[in-house]
Amino acid sequence: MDIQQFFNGLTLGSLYALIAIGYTMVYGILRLINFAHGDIFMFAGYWVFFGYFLFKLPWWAAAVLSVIFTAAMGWAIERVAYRPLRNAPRISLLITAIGMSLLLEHIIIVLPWAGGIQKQFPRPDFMIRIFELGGARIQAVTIWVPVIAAVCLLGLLYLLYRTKVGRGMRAIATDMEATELMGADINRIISYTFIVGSALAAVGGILWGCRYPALRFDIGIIPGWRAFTAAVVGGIGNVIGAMIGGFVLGMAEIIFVATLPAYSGYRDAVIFAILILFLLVKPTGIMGKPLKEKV
Amino acid sequence: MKLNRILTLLALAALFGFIAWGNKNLDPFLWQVLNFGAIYAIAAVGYTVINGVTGQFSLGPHGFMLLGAYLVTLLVLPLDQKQITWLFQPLVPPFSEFTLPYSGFILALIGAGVLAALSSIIVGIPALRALRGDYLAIATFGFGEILFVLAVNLIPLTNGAMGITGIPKYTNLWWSIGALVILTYAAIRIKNSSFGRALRAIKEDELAAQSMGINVFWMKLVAFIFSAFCAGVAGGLYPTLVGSVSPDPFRFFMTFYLLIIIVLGGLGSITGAVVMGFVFAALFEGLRFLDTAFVPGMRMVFFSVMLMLVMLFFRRGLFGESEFTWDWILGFFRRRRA
Repeated sequence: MDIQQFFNGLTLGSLYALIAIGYTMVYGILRLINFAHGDIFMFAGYWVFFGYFLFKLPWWAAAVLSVIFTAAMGWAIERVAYRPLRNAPRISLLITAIGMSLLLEHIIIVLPWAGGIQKQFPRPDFMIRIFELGGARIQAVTIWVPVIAAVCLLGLLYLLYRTKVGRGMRAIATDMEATELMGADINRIISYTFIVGSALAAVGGILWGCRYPALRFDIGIIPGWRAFTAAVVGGIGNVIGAMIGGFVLGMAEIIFVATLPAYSGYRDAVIFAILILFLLVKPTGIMGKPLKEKV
Repeated sequence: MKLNRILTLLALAALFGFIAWGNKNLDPFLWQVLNFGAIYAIAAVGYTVINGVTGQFSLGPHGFMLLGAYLVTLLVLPLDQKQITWLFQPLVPPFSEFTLPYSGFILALIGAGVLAALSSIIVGIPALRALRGDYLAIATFGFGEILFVLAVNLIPLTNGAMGITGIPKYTNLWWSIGALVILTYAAIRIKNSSFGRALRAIKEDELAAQSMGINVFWMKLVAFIFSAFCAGVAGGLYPTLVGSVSPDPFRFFMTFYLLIIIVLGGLGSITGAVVMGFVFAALFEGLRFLDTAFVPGMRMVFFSVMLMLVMLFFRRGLFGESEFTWDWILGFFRRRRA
C-alpha cells in the first residue's frame, strides 16, 4: 500500500470514527439506533453552505456556526421526538427516528436554497492545497482530517473520563434507573449526549465536505451506515471501540477499492454483509462487553 | 356466525362486481390508484404479520419486493424486448431463452412470492435465531440494501440502474385486488388460529411464550416467510402495472411507506393495513399537488411528520391490534338501536 492510499484510508477512517461516536453514544445510553444521525451529519455540510453562500460569512465562521447549529439540532430532535417516547416500546422510538431521518432529508429537498440537486461544498484553500511527500501527491485535507479528528476524539475522551457530565453519561450507559435514583438529572445528561454526538458529526460533516465536496440531501445515508457498521464492529456503546472500528473500516474500504477496483460498485454490499455478520456472530463487536438481557 | 359468512360472501360478490365494472369503466387515474393501493396493501398485510402481530421488527420488505419485481419482469418480458435491453452484456440464460405468455402470469406471480419466501428463509434462519429488536431491524435492512446494490451492479440480470422498460402491463384490478383478497384471507386465518395466538404471545413476552412450550424461532420464521411471500407478490405486480422496473422504487423508501401504512392502520391489524394501504395510495397521488404547487419533496415531509405524530400521540393507529369485523359493524348498529 503506498503512502497516498494510507493517507486516504486514514482520512476516511477518521471521518467514520467521528460519525460512529454519535451512534455509539446514543445507543449506549438510550439503546436507540439513531437513524437520523447520518442526516444530522449531512445537515452540517448544508449549514456551512448556507453560511458561506447565503450570508457571505468567512469560511471559518460558517464552519463554527455549523457545528453550533448542528449540535442544537441534535438537542432539539431529542427533545421533540425522542424524549416523549422515553417509556414507550423501543420499536416506537426506532420508528420515530426513521421518520426524523426522512424528514431531515426532505427538509433539504424542500428548502429553496438547497433542493434535491447537487450543490458544491465551499472548500477553503488551505484544505485543497496539494504537496508532495515521499514522491506521492497528497492533498492537505488528508492531513487536516486525521489531525482535527484526533483533537476532537481526545477532547471527547477528556469529557467522558474527566468531567462530571461524562461520568453521568457513563453512569446512564451502565444503568439508567440507578443513575436516576442517585439523583442525577437524566434528561440533562441525555441532552448533552445528543449535543456532543451531533457536534462531532458536524465536524465530520464539514471535513467530509472538504474531502468530497458534492453536497446533496442523501449524502448522509451511506456514510451514516458505514459509520454505524464501524460502531457495531467496534462494539456498540463503546466510544473507543467506535474510534477503532471507524479506522478499521476506513482502511478496509480503501484497500478493497484499491485492490479490486472492478468490484468497487459492490462495496456497500460488502459493508452491509460485514455488518450483518458481526450482528450474527459477534454482536458485541471487538471491544464491547456483552449486553445483559433484561427480562 | 352464519350471518357473518353471508355478509362476507355478499361483500365479496359486490367487490367482484365492482372489479368487473371498474376494470373497464373506471377513470384511468382512479384505476391506477386502486391498483397501487392493492399492491401497497398486499405488502403491508404481510409486513404487519411479522412487525405487528409477531412484534419482530423487520425493515427488509423492499428487498423482497425487489426480488419479486425482477423475477416477474424477467419471466414476462417479451423476447425481442430482452434483446433490445441487453445489448452490450447479454442476458443470462435461462431468461434469455423463453418468455411466459399472459396465461403464465399467475405462475410468474407465485414464483415471485416463492423466490422472496426462499430468500427470507436464508436470511431468517440466522437472523431470527440470533437477533431481536433493533438488531433484527438492522440485519433485515442490510439485506434489503445488499439486494439493491446487487440490482444496480448485476447488469446481465437487471440491466443495472437503467432499469428495464417495455414490460407488458398485465396487472389489472382482477390481479391486484384478487391477490389482496386471497392473502388478506390467509393472514386473518393465520392471526385467528392457534398459530396466530402463539405469534401474539411472542410479541407480548417472548420468554413467557417460550416457557409455555411455543417454538419461538420456528413461529417467527413462518411469519417471516409469509410476510416475504406477500412482499414478493406485491413486488411482482408492480412492474407489470407501470410497464418498467428499476432498482429505485425498491429503495428503503418503499419500506418506509409500508411502515407508515401499518403504523397508521394499527400495528398488528391486518384489516387496518388493507384500509391504510388504499388510503396511503390515495394520499400519495392526491397530495401530488403539494409537490407541484409548492416544492418537490413536500409530500414526504408531510408523510414523515405524520408518522412521527402518530408515534408520539396516537400509537394505537386506526384499529390498534384489533380487526374490522362484521360483529363490530353489527354491534355498532345494535348499540344505535338500543
